[in-house]
Amino acid sequence: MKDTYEQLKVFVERIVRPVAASEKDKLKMREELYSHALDAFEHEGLGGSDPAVALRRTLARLGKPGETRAALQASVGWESRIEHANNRVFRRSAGVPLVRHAAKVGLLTGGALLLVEALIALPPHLAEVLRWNGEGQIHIRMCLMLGLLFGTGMFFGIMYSDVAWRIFERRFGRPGDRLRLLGLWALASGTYAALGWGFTLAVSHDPIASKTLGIYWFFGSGLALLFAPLLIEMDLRERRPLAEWHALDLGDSTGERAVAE
Amino acid sequence: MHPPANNQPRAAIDGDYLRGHLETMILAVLEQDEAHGFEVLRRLEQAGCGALRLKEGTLYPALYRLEESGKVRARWEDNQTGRRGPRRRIYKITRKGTRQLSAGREAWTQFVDVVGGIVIGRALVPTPAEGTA
Repeated sequence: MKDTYEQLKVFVERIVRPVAASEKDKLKMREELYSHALDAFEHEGLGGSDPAVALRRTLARLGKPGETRAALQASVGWESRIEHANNRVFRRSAGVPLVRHAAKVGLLTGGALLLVEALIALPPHLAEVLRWNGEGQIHIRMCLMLGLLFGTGMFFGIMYSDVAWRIFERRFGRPGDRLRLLGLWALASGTYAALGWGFTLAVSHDPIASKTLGIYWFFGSGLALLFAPLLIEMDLRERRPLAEWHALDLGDSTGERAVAE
Repeated sequence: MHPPANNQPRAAIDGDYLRGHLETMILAVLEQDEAHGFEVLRRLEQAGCGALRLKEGTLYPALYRLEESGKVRARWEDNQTGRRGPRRRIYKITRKGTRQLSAGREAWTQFVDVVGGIVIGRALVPTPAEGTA
């Protein structure tokens, strides 16, 4: 039997978890609704009522979870919805293996880059591509290579960030350790960018094109990866207070039944 | 808050009647002083003399809409001495909210004048008797 406070939390989580909003907004909803539920429970128990009765009344006061959820969803702004959609792609859900998640993100981002290239970079060279001459083949090869590199980069980036996240969370709690990890990260970022450049030079037969592409790759991926620790730190700050909410088991529908009654 | 003119129990006013007026009522409550969600509700209940039947969970979406549109500003409570549980958010009306409240009051007064006049019957012109037109 869950204690009263946990039952209130489960009730709140059942309302908020399915809402399509950013985690920041959802945390705000959780904290406010839970805080309200506690105040209401305290108020209901003032006359010395049985805690079970006070709990049932509290849940009834909050209303049907479905209605509250719909009202909350309607209040969510478009930025928050976009962030939620972004999180659905880039954040691993519970129970999904890391490799599968990284492969999904790699395929999606690599595919998206290929699409962008097909729409923006290829049209000016369409004639050469259609004639399938040497220049056309180089353009196609460059586009495919960039998509492949980006997708592969994302795959390893996700794997890498997950491992780093665990290390950050469990082992590197002190500021000095964090600085050391930042240094390691910068080194890894440089290595990754240099490897990408080398790979580009190795597979492209056009020295001028490969040089340009290599420079873009070097600076683009290098900069992105240098910012990665900052992004992970921000992500950690957002995730920490969420952990206890995400750990709640919503299987028991006590709250829904209590309100229905 | 003023008590009702008489002590007769009032009929409950539930969500369907309140829809569309909730945001103006919240602004009116916050015009008095800043408050967190539970306090807003308590003041509404007190002012409604027990007749308001609000599904409390729907208060927050209304507050978020007001915040999103800049009519209220919110901050997390700094000090919650003697209270367990998570922080509360304190809502405060903004200038834009005050203007919205004035507009809401005008619209409400007009609504009551027009619709009230019809519903109560005082605004209705007696129909001429048949055959006299």
